[in-house]
Formats: sequence, C-alpha cells, structure tokens
Amino acid sequence: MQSTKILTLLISLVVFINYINYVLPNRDKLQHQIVVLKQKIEKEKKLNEQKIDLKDLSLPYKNFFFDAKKYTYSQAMGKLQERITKSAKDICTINHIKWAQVPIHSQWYDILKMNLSLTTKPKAMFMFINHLRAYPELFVIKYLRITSDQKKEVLKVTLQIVAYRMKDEK
Amino acid sequence: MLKILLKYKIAQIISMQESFFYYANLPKDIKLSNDLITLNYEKYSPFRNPEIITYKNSQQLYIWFTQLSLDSLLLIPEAFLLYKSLQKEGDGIYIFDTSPMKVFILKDTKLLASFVTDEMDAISLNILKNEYQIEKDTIFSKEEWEKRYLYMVNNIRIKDLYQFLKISLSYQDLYQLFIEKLTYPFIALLVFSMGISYFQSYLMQKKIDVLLEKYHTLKEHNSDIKKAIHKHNAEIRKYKAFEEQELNTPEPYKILYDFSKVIKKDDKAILKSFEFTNDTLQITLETKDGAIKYLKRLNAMPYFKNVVIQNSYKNKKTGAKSIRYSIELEGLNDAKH
Repeated sequence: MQSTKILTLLISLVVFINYINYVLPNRDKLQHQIVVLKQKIEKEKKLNEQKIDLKDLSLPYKNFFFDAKKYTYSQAMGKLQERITKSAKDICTINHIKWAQVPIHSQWYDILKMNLSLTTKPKAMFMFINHLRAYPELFVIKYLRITSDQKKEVLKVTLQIVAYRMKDEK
Repeated sequence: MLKILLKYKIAQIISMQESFFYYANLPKDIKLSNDLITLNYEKYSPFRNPEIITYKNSQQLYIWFTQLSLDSLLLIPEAFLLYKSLQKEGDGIYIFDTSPMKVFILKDTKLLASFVTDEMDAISLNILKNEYQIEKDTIFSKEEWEKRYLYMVNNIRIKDLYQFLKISLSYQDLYQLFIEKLTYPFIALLVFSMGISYFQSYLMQKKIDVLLEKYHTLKEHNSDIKKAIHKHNAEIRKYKAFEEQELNTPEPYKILYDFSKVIKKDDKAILKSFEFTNDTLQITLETKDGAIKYLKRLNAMPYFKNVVIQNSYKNKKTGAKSIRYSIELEGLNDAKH
C-alpha cells in the first residue's frame, strides 16, 4: 500500500514538473505581452483622440520651388531670367546674363544657376534684390562682386543667382 | 490565544491538584531534551511513569509531573499561569483561599514551590518562612484566584505557550505521516495548482486576444494618419537636408549691410570693391587713413575671422592707399538666409 502511494506520488511529481516546464504557458511572458499591448493601445488611442487633419501635415515649402509639372528645366530657367529682368526693369542695367550648364545629379530638385552682371546705383541694387525676393520662389545669391566706377558714379555688380526646381511631387 | 486553543481542545490546563511541581536550578544555561529531563528528574516524581511538563527560563527549570494521560498538543499547568500573575508581586508566600488552598512561594522572581493543602495554620506558615527565608505572606480570596486565572488565560504570551508545545516527531514519524496521510491531499494540491495555473494562463491568453483585436482595430483606423505623419516626417527630413546643403551660405547683402558700419561718415575711405564667395570675403578700401584703423574695426565684427591685409598700394594721383582685406566668415548662423 505504501509503495503504491509512493509510486503515485512520484508519477504525480513527474507529471507536475513536466507540466510546469513544457505545457504551462510562460505567464510572465503573457503578462509582459499584456502590458506592451496596453501601452500600444494607449498610444493609438491618444493618436486617435488628437484628430489630426491631414491638411495640417502638408508643408508650405513647395511654393519655394519652380514646379516641375509646370516647367521643364529650360522653361524654369527662362522663367527665372524673366523674373530677374522684371526685377531689374528701370532700376538696373543688365549687361550680361548667362545660364549655367544643366547640373547632372539625381536629387529631387534641379539647381537653376544664372550668372549676371549689371550696372546700378547703390540704392537700386537693394531694390533689385527686394523685387526678386517678392516672388514666391527661393533665390539664393551664391556669389557677389561689387566694384565702384568713380567716373560714372555707378556700381558694377556681378552675381550668381540660384533658384530650385522640384523634380518630383510626393 | 489560549482561550481559542482551549475551546478547540488543542490546549489543556492541568490543575494543581493533578500535578506535582518540582523546581531545579541548572548549573548552566543548557539545552535539555525531554529524554534527558525524564532520566534526571523522574525520580522526584511521586507518580509512576508520569507525564512530564517542563518550562525552562535560562538556568531555572520548572517541572510538573502528572499521572493524567493527555492527548492535547499543548499542556499548561495552572500553577504556571498563577505564578506568571504573581511575578510582579515580588518575593513572598502567596496563598489563595480556595478549596483546597493553593500555595505559591516566590523568591527572586522564581517559583520555588507550589502545592495545594487543605489548611494552612500559622505554624506551617512559619516553617515555610524559615525554610525559604521569606518574611512576606499574602492571602488572596477565591475571587482573586478566578480573576488572575482568567486574566492569564487571555493574556499569556505566545513565547511561553510555545515552551509547552508537545511536538516530538522523528524523521521516520514525519515520513510515515506524509506517506500515510498527506500523499493524496498533496496530489490533489498538485492537480489543483495545475488547474489554477492553466486557467490563469487561459484567461491571460483570452485577454491578449481581446487586446490584440482592439489594437488592430485602432491601428487600422489610424493607418492613414500614420502614413501621413511618416510622409510628413520624411518631407521634413528632405527639406532639412536641402537646407543644410543649399542654404548654408551666408546672405551677402546682410554682410554688406553690417560692413557699412565699419566706414563711418567722417572717415576718408571709399569701398572700391566687395567680393563674396562662399565663406570668404574680399574688400578693397581706398583711404588716406592707416590700414590698421580699419583692420581693428573689421576684427571687432562678430563673425569676421582671420582678417588679413593682402596687399596695399598708393595711388600717386590722389595720394590715397588702396588696401585689400581678406576675411574668413565664421559663426554665420545669424547671417544666413
């Protein structure tokens, strides 16, 4: 009788140990999973409650570029030259204007580079830049050389103006 | 505590009439097993094969012999309860006027003797006083005995109760007890714990399923917003990269404006040329003043660094000097677009 009890006890222990080791799911892991899921749900709920308007996520930078849908590279360059000419009208004399070569790179924007030299008076020089900046597109002056001509009392300005054309629209 | 134990017959109080008290003073504070106590002190018992109840307090050993055959786990002598209640009274012979009379002799907070007697006359009392060299004697009423007895039943310390606990199980006894009586309860406990743990895991898994479903629903609901946010972040990164690459040059007109402060109205100087390329600036000044005057002013400009005079020559017609300065531009954050 006693040996039967011992045998039963041993079998029960073996079953119990195997159950704990191989059958019973890891409750710590399950608990951790519950905690992580709760945190994720909380995060999603917060995002849901914020009610973000998709329109708020659009950036205004596109206006700073010449639109590739509207203008090819040469059309954009032409537009840039037109803007420069219009800005210089009546205040500066453009002596020379030159398009830079087409840049070869695979970025999402093209660089529109234009070299020009003009003759102007000091105040008019600033007016020219202000006129140019009134356009929505971005203009950057990469090079600027000003020399004074005392005889004619004018400034000779050589500058490189850079604008940008957005290739893709995502 | 003792009251509850008495109620459920786990504990039992041995009356003074049914026990014989013996006091032994041990030479050292040593541990004594029950067998050793029986071997050494059984001879003092007036009974044959007595049941021995002991209480040890450092070097004092209190022994109660009784003839009763008792099954309770906890046997507490009545004399012990009353001795504990009398301890605060100090040395003396204390007599409770009960039937029979209960006599306690205490000296130096130790219980030296306790017994019952039908009568206690003056001669017997004097004999006791002389024997134990005690002068004080007090007689308490029966009501006082009842009061003290009940007080101690309710307030006896667990530490004292523990000393009267009768547990003497050998390894063999434990083994027998476990196999005979605890095997099936133990197996039942294992099965129960397996069931409980499995059920708990099942509930947790259920909860995870519910949470997962909720999470997926919310995630799906938010997917458009998330995509838009990712796209927005990607756009920001794109434009930041553009800004760093293309708009890192300073604004030349701002530099020109700042430079205009270098030449003051009363200075005899004319700016002949101003050339800006990337982070360098070259200026030609025509002046009759010294070159160092303007060098100092240029050096004082916050973002003009390493101002160098490249060359200077004198115009013979005007007598003025043409000085060409080369300047490096640093810390141009404020001067950028």
